[in-house]
Amino acid sequence: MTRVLLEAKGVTKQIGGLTALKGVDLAVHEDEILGLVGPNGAGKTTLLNIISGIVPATAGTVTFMGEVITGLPPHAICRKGISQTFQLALSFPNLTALESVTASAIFGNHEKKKLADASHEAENHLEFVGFPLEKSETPVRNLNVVELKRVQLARALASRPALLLMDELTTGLNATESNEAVGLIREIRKQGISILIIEHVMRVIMGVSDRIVVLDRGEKIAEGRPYEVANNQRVIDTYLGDMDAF
Amino acid sequence: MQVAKGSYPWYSCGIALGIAVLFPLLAGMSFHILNVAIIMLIFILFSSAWNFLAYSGQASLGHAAFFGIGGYVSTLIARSAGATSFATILAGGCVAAFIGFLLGLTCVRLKEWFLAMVTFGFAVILQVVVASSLAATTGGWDGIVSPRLIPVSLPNYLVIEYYVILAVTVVSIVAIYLILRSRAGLAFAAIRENETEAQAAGINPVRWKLLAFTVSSFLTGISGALMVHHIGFISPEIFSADNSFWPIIYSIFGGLGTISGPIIGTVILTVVWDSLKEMGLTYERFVIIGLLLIVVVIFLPKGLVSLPEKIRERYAQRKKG
Repeated sequence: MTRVLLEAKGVTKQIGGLTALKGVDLAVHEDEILGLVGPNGAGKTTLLNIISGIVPATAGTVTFMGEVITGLPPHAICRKGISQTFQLALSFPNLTALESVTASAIFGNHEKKKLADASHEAENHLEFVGFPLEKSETPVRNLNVVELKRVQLARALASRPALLLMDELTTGLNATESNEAVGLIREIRKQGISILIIEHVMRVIMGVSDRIVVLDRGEKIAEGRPYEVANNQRVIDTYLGDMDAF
Repeated sequence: MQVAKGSYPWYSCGIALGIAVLFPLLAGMSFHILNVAIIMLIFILFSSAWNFLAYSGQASLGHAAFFGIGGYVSTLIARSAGATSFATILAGGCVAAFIGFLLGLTCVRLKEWFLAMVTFGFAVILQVVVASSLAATTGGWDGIVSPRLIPVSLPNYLVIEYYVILAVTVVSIVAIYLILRSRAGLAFAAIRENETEAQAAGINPVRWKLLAFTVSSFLTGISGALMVHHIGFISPEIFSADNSFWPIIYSIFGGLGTISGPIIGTVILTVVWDSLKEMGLTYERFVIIGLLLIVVVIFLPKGLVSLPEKIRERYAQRKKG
């Protein structure tokens, strides 16, 4: 197994009287695609938001490339090499697609670059994710869901991350678009970027992940290769035996 | 809409600047008209400074605080030094910027309206402190004489004053334009549009909001200093809510988040305001301006600058129909 890139240990999140995460351990290795699955309310997005610094953890630590990043603000974590796409792709409504990605190319890493160079770089990222370049000067609010998702992915890639956190990339996409997204995820990994992905479409996550972690009510209930997880009794029980979902 | 590219063609800027430069000749050196024009220029600078803050997604309801700080600091230094110079005006701007920085440091993490309330409260507190605790230095509610920007003894002093203030205003607006076209402008716009996503893109909102607050306070301080040296007097009235609200009204009327919005808003509302007064509508003008503002906010939420675009859209629709 390759080197551990990200390690979460005992991550706990209390929200009022509710425990959203109970001492979750998780590791993402270099060049790995790790799938995170679980029913609604399992705590998947909360875990992603704790790793990226958007939500503070109540307890536990997150280590990235050997450095503890727990408690760092999101912008600092981004600059260390972790970027995130959100489930609800809103982006920057009144900025153009190109400006949205350029912002990340400039501020998302420690490289000093001119606005024009960052803009050129942003264009390459938009092209890579299959965004129609003739719309690069269109305000984000006028884009459709698929285009918005592509802008968000390009924005996440523009900071040149070592680890990409993807939250429900295929939500709102049809079967063809989802297949394209899977191809894109594989292309991203080929660039040497590790991926931690949440996905509700099981066909997608089973096909694309090297390993899968299953959360239920804030606890990790299973971990392993896709076929191992699919045959895990506790996972089957959690999904009420609905293994068609897999 | 980082700064809408191509929406400020050189000829429209040239025409506006040409009119501004030739204005004293066109105005026939009328003392009253020149006075109105000078105050208008100062408020263009003040509104542009307020709008600069709004550009980063922050709102202030108490910018009169920085307007007054600039005015008082420059006046007190000028009085002890015996003359007004660019150095005292610059000092007024710097102290306003420093206090803006400190205030920003304590409340830059607050969201729009909470920040707005803090700034509003700050202006109220400052007015009371300047009028009472610092009365020995500031003259209390009676105020103090502020040395004129250009000595009245000079021939055509008002025309000279007009050109000096025009130069400061133009330079400041060009500076704002350049900042907003740079990476700083992109950071401000991203924070305003979606702070969480901006952070996910590696932007530190605290740092950039603080920068916007400091620059805005600086320019507001400069405009306050110019105002008191033009009027020749300063009192705690400078911290009044009126002075906090006018730049907001001008900016919203002209177009929030644009360079030309505060300029157009200030020019049109000043002309309307003064013309109504000339017509003897001293109290009625409040109602008229209020109605104008309501009409613009309802029908042109992006301000008067969006009018040509709206007309083009209507025209295109009609052609289609």
